[in-house]
Amino acid sequence: MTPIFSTENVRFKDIIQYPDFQIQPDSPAFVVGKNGSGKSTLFKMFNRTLSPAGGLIRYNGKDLSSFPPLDLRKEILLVSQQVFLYDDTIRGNFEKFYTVTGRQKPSDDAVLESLALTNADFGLENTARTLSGGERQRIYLAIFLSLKPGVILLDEPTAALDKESSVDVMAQIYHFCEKNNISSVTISHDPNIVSLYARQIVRLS
Amino acid sequence: MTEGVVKLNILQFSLIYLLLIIVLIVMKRSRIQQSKLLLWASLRMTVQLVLAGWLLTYIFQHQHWAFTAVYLVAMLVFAVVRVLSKVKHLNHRFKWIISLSFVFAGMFVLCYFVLAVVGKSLFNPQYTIPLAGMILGNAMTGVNLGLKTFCDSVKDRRNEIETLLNLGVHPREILLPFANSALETALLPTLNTMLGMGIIYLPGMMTGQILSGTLPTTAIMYQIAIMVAICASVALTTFSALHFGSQTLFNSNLQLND
Repeated sequence: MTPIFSTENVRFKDIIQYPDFQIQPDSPAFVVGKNGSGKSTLFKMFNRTLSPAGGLIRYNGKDLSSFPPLDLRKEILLVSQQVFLYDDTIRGNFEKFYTVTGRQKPSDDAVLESLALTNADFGLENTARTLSGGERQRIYLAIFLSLKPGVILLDEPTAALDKESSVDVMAQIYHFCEKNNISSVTISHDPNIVSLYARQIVRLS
Repeated sequence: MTEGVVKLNILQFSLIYLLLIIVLIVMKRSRIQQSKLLLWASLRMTVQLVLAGWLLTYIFQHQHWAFTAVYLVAMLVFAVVRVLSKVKHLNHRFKWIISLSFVFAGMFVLCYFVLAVVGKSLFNPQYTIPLAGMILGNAMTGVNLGLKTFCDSVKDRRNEIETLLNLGVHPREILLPFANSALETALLPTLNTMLGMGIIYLPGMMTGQILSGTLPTTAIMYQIAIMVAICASVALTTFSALHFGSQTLFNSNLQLND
């Protein structure tokens, strides 16, 4: 099987030297490592919002830099650690994210279905501003998952959630990914999540 | 009818400085510790304007195209340097674009005014120098405001920009609304000035012309013309600085430059 990602001698800005590794299509995959080991930077190189200073990253066996960046970012969707939602209602947020990525506005049923994925049934008319950090993170995850990319990169997806809901939400997310044929790579500091779901682990030092 | 302006002799002129004593008293009573600044600002203004007066008198008496040209270039350089000094962190290409926007947009509006509207040579100092001062000065304020708004919002909304980038949105599309709203912010003061003109205050250029004996009907035409020219130069300079400048914030891989 061709690995989804493989790296050879990848460096970033002469600060980080990555070990060579492969991520197989057997999801969920995890990237673990201490703070500053370059996990988030690795994800940004995977979707080409950053470029390595040297070395080679392959996606499905082909040089990552040979893919047009915008198409690649739609295909390999990075859900970053910093939650961003528009100052609008939950429905409005779905609509804005869909419009900005050139999609049709989703129906209310589709939105509710997506929100159920992350247990984010807070009412479509609620404004994002009034929600707690954990609630915002769930909406943000639901929106990105509903875009159904080929690969989803989840950077600390449960940082703002409590332990119990983390386990629950991640189970549903991975189930959704499997059902929709979405490969996933997750960065997590939560050893519990890693031990529960990881089918493969990349360790960065 | 109108008569020429009363030529002030030095004694008459000095009387105006007595008003500064009132400002000093007000400042003391209100515990505003800026009396030094007041004196320094008054002194600087006096020296700068006296020098400008001498220089302009010389240029008017010895009319030569080169004097006007040099004066114009000096004004342009000064405006560009002032603007760039406030945005030191911008990349070199952005700074070049700001400078070129000034040269092309500012000069275009000035040339149009002097050549097409007034119908004088661009090297006629009596028209070119004061008009260039007003056009470039206001363009400078506009660009400053526009750039500051743009840079602040790009910095404050970095998370939004990165999120949209992750979604595969072209950086040009992401930055366009930032440039547009900064342009709006830059234009609003000029538009508000136009709204209040003639009712709330009589603008400087018109007042000056009336004082020096020009018919008010002529003075208002010049005033309207200069306001439209200022508005156009603010719009054109800020637009090109922001729209072309914002393209320098990302590279050919559509990644944000640091």
